[in-house]
Amino acid sequence: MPSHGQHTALDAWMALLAGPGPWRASEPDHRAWVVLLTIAEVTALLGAAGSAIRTIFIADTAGNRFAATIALASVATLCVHVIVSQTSQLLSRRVWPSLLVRSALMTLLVLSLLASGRRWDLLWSSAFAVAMGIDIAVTCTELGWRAQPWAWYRGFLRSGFHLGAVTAALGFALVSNSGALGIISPIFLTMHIWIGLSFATVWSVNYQYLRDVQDRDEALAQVVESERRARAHWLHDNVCADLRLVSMRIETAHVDRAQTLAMLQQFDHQIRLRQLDELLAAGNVTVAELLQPYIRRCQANNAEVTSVPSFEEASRVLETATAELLARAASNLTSNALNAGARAVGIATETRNGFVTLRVDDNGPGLPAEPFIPGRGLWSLRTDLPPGSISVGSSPMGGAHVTVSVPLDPRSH
Amino acid sequence: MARLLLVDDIAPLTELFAETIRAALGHDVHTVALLSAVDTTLAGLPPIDLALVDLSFAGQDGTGIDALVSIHRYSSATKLAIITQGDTYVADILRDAWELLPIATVIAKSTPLVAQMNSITLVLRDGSAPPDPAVRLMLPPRKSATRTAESFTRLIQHAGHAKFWTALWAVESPSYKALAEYSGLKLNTLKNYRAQIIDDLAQHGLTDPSLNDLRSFAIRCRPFLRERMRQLGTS
Repeated sequence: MPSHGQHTALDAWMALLAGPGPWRASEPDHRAWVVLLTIAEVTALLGAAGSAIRTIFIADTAGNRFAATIALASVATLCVHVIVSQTSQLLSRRVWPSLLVRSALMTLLVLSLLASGRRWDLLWSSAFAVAMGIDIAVTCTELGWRAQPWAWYRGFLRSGFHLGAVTAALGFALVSNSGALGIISPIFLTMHIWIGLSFATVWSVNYQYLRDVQDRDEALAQVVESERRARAHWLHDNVCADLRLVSMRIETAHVDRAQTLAMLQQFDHQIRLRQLDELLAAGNVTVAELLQPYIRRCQANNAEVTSVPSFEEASRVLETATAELLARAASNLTSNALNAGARAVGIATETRNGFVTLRVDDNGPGLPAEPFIPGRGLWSLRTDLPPGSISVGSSPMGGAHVTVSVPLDPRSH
Repeated sequence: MARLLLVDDIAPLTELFAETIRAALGHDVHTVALLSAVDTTLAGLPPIDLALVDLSFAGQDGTGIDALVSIHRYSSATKLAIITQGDTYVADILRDAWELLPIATVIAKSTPLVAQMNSITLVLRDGSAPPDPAVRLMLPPRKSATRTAESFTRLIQHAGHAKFWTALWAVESPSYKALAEYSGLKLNTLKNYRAQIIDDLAQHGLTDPSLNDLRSFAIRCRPFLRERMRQLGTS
């Protein structure tokens, strides 16, 4: 019996019967070995289906063929259930429907196999035991239970169910004179082979799972260590060096208060850009995360930020390549506005037709007639964007109005 | 002269900020650095006109929402304002506070002091001020009409639900097994409780949330959930 804390055996078996789907605490796990496990489970079920098909062809009575057909239908439905539960959340997230459907199918399947098979023919359907083993192992993993198949097997041997079945079979064989032992013993031994196969599968899957967890933990520890070293290096090379520069300038009285403040603000901006780099390296970034450093820089330079993107636009998640281009655009456009002496800046974004467009307005003197000076920011940005992505004009605020459109899928351009 | 309360965990910075407000605006400013000390501080002071509360309290049990709820419960006449770095890791806390409480403004710590003083003056004079542009990005333009403190009654309909939320607070890496072991509830019962509240969680922005999502929500909105438990007599 699974290790299940204070819960009763009935609770535990019901949880296992309901399958892995209802107990998933987060999104389905699509790691390679979990996908392989699903394929293995479906393959094993198809093996059981093969045994039902074989019985249909060789069965000598209509009753056997009928039972084998039901077994085949149950296997097919279980296959569909396993595939759907791994690819969709619809059918598998609730306990009772899953429990009832799976219990009914498994009961039908086992009874049909017993009814259709003759003596040792039952061994042909052993693949079903492997499928059950995979299912039990995956369910235990989702529930956070430690699978202990050998302990379960010992428990089964000592259980009332097993001892009762043995006693009944022996009693029946003793009082019967019609060769009952010859009928019962194949069923009894097949049951043990099924259970043994099932628990051996649980053990194998559990062993592989624990190894996978161990490998992942080791890989994670290596990443954490290298990341810590990289951060320590950055703190030493960048943060400490810049702080030292500021403190030396103050000590030697080469700067006044306003200059000190400006240096610290620049330092603050560099740290925020570093923060943005980290977010970009981590994956998808929202428009809000991307624009915040540039909004703060405008404020630090005493430029009023008169408008910002709406909550919906700011919550939009961008792929890293798009986000990097948009960050370059935001950096160029706000720097140009501040360098031109703007005291007010308006920032907006709009997503349409596969592009995200950044619009920056200011109340400065406006951009020069030819803003794309070779080697400078806007010129460099233009070379990395599709033709016509940057437009420059006059703003209602009195200064420049610049828009930069970045494709949401830059690889397609 | 107004009376202000600053709630922020970085005590030296808070004291400096309090001194700046006293010098620039002439207000009577008090500070508190521990969330657990908010109630006793309030009890020892005359009525507060404006409370400025940070959202992130590293190493303390709770967030700025706990302090904001305590202050609002103590006196609904006190104006509530948030003062935060406004980084996106506090975005969910900020949004919850903004939607569930009468927040008069949000001040970004990165904004020049002059702008911060202006916001304080505006709130004391007009009752509210526009949130700082750097954090406005993270605030919905309109507050939801249905997402209120009262809407938490649907999330705890009976004592069993209270056990579910309490277990989520306590279990760091929640799985159904871990929650069942902590709460003493059966696996299927826990699953049913989640199913019973799932529709009502949608108005809190949670659509088919994982147990980790639920735990984050439970920690952020703990004061509202606790209030409901208190009403039911299950806290």
